[in-house]
Amino acid sequence: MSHGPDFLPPEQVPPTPPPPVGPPPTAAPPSYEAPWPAPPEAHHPYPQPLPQHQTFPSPEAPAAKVIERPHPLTGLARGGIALVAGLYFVTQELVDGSRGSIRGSLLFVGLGLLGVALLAGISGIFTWRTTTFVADDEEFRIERNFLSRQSSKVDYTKVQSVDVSQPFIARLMGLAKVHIDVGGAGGLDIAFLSKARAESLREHLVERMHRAQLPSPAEPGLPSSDPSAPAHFPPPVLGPDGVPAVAPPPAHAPAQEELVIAVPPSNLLLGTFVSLSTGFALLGAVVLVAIALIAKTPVTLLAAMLGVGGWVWRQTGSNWNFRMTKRDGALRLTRGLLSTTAQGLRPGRIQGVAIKQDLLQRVTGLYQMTVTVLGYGDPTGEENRQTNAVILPFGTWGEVLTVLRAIWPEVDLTQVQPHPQSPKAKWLTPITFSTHTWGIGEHVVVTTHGLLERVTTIVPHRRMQSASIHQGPIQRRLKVASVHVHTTDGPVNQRLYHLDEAVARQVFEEQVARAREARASAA
Amino acid sequence: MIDALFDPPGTPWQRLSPKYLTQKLILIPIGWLFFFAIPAVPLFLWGADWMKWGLVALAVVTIAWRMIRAPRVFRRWGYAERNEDVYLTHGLWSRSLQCVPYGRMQLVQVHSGPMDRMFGLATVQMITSSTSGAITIPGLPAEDAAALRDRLIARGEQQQAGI
Repeated sequence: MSHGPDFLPPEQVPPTPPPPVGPPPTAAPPSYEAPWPAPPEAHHPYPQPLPQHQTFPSPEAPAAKVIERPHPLTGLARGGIALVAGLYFVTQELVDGSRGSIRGSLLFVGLGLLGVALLAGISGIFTWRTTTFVADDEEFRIERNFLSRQSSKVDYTKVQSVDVSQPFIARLMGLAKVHIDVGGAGGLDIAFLSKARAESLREHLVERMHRAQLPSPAEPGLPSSDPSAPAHFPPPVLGPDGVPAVAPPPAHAPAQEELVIAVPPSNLLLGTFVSLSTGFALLGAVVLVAIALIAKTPVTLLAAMLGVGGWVWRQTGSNWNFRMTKRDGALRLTRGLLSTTAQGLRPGRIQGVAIKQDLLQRVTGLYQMTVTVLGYGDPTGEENRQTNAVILPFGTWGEVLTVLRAIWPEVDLTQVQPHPQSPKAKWLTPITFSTHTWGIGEHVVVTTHGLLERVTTIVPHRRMQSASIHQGPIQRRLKVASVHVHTTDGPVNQRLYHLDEAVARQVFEEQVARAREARASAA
Repeated sequence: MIDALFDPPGTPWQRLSPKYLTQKLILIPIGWLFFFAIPAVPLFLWGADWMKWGLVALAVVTIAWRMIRAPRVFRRWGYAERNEDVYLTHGLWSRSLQCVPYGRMQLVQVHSGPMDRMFGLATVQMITSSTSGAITIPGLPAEDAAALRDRLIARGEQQQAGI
């Protein structure tokens, strides 16, 4: 993709030459060289991961342990923000020392921050000398040997995903951290390694995780364990606009990383700016600018600019350069402008999908996809980047279908017949009546709601937790009822509104039975 | 096939202990008297006569209404243990029917507060990975609640499904 490498700072190449710079001479250098080959993609670690990824040589892979140490610059990267702020204040003071009164205090603050950074640097050197990361056959350990021995470990069978992220300061230094997600409390952060080492450590951990979890049939959702899956989808699924799905259907080439989707900045910007929320933000900005012009207060103008700028940044910065790749049935999402993250996601963890499009976005035909994933919680805020639930920032309907096929190859939305609400409910939802539909397919329940923002939710039968029927007093008078399908907590809430009483109970009973069968066949 | 919306699923509904109704009939007047006591203090100190009588009338009507409705609300409660899931129905004004498979239960809890213990009652709560899917069965005789909990846990262990 042409836009891929644009945002990689060129200065990132020198810190990662092929002989590993990160780890100092450790106790067992040969043992980590052998099972863990230095990645050949070290020259361009990030932008072109597709063909260069190597498989682990299986005979020697389960061999000895892999030992790694944090990068010597770890402390500096941790105290980096203090360092930058301190340098900023001090240089500002040295360059223009006109205002005498605040000058001293700023210099003081700057020196204080520099002191903090210095302490962080020293502690980093200590960490570097005293911390060891050990990838064993059974578990991954972080050992600290400073004053007391301390060891935190993670069992491979518990690992849900392994993510690589680069906070901004660390990214400037070419460092990255690896986060091991166990789906709840007890995950580990491995900070910091050089980018290339972090990537290869991640590969290694994922490999171990797969091997540890392979014997258990816990993930039947993975296409690799379901040979009949590709037969389910009809060859070219056309979007409503006649555009064929972008990527070819995932072929069975194990350990070959293939690109599922890449969102170009143009789509991200288009989807962000041509939307109702941008409309409201602009309205607010216009009001503020008007106040600034009328009252002649430039402060308000500044506030408006800062507000709009910050909002745009939040919307686009974290999803910039979004790429989804698939390898061995596991998805990998990379994104971010300043802080990049690489997030691993196994389709088996996805409990439900929501596809959203608001009124203005219908003009551009772009959709956003979010997922409910066990352990992510309700990620309405995008601050927590480890658990970003957006799996397609903005894409056409064809791209939505491509992503859908990547996570659930057996699901075909065209085979799900949409049903309207009961006509008796017409005056309960007079304006939005025609926008509420529900449908049940072979594998999933699909509902669509909303006029201002149209939300389509998809929940597979085997991910259903429980179900319920609700009937309020007005609904009772009209002889209609709503059916709710519960998944784990997250952004996907599935409700089938205002069905005829008899239909509601029938759908409910059938859905309970379908979920039971799906669970049984999965086990 | 089941046609009425809140009919039992094959097996008949199991009902709550009649003591739960007695407890409710005692607690309703007490609870609502506390509720009305808060606006009553300023009203009886400074309010006009019609306001005082209005409040008293409102309190009497509310409590009487609740007491009359209580037996019907009580009769709406019902649960059914089936081979693979539990059904629960409740609510008079706003009705609901829930179904939770044993395989999805994460946790089964029994509570018994001081009021419950006075009547020998307990509440069984089943928690799944979904907040909206939790089931709460109040007003069971304490020993039934413990037995129900044990049955639920045993079945949950047998049928545990991966999430």
